Amino acid sequence: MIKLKSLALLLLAMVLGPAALAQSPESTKTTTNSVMTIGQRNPALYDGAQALLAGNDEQGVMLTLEGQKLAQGAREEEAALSNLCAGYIRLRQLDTAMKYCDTLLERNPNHWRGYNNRAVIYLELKEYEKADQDLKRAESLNPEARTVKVARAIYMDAVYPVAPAVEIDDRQGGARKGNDKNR
Amino acid sequence: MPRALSAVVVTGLLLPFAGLAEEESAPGGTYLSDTQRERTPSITAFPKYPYVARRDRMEGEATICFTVNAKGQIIRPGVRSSSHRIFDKPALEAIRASTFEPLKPGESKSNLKTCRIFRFRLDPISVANEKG
Repeated sequence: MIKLKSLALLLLAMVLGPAALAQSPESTKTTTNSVMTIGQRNPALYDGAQALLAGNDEQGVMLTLEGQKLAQGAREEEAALSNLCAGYIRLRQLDTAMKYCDTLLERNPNHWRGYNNRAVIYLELKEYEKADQDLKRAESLNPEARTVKVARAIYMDAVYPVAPAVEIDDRQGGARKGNDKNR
Repeated sequence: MPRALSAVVVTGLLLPFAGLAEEESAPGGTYLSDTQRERTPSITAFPKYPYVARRDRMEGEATICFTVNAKGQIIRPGVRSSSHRIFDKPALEAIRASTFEPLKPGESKSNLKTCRIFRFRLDPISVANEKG
């Protein structure tokens, strides 16, 4: 249950960072002495992220590849690499996705999205030990990230599957046993 | 042995419960009851397992106390205790979707005040069983 639904969410979430980073080229802020540009002038990267978010994976990857060529600075380059990794995962081209994730993590060993994306690839490949290692790194870098929690849940379901169950206890003695702590 | 525990009915049920977020899990369900009760349950709704609790491997329980009126309707349900707030909402929603048998014509009883415990568990599945 968590596997299928959440994987889609997981991959979508991976492009949120760059989508926020690569703002519209018109996004500017006027100060008293100058016009300061907010975000990066890389519409292809922005549009690629939007296309991936919209589920247009091929177009998203194509635009992101264009954006990568025009990327200026480490943040844009890393955003492009992260989105290409996510995009190729969505296109089920895992070898190519792995290449971009590896490149990203060589450039920036503290990129939690890179570890998270690569963990997803390992989960797809059923290489659970490697997935666990990358998830641990992602968790240490961003313990509260929802996407990492979802990826961890997918890992747990694969390695230690459980079935949810609810017991309803109407016994008079049972009801009285309910404790009041932790409220 | 206390009377309440002397005649326990354990029934394995799989009752669907509609009305919660679709990403929450429909769990397997077990219903425990005394054989001699003042009022007989009519509809016993099972809560869905909260998605985040399922995701984060959280188990726990919630005790909901309520009143059953002459028509068998559950009124004034409230959380008496719970191990984590995440279990309160599904337990309350399950209670609100549950009913008891109405009193028979001429039958005269005061409203029943009682409590119901919901225990949320994650049971390990062995790989062999899953494949089998």
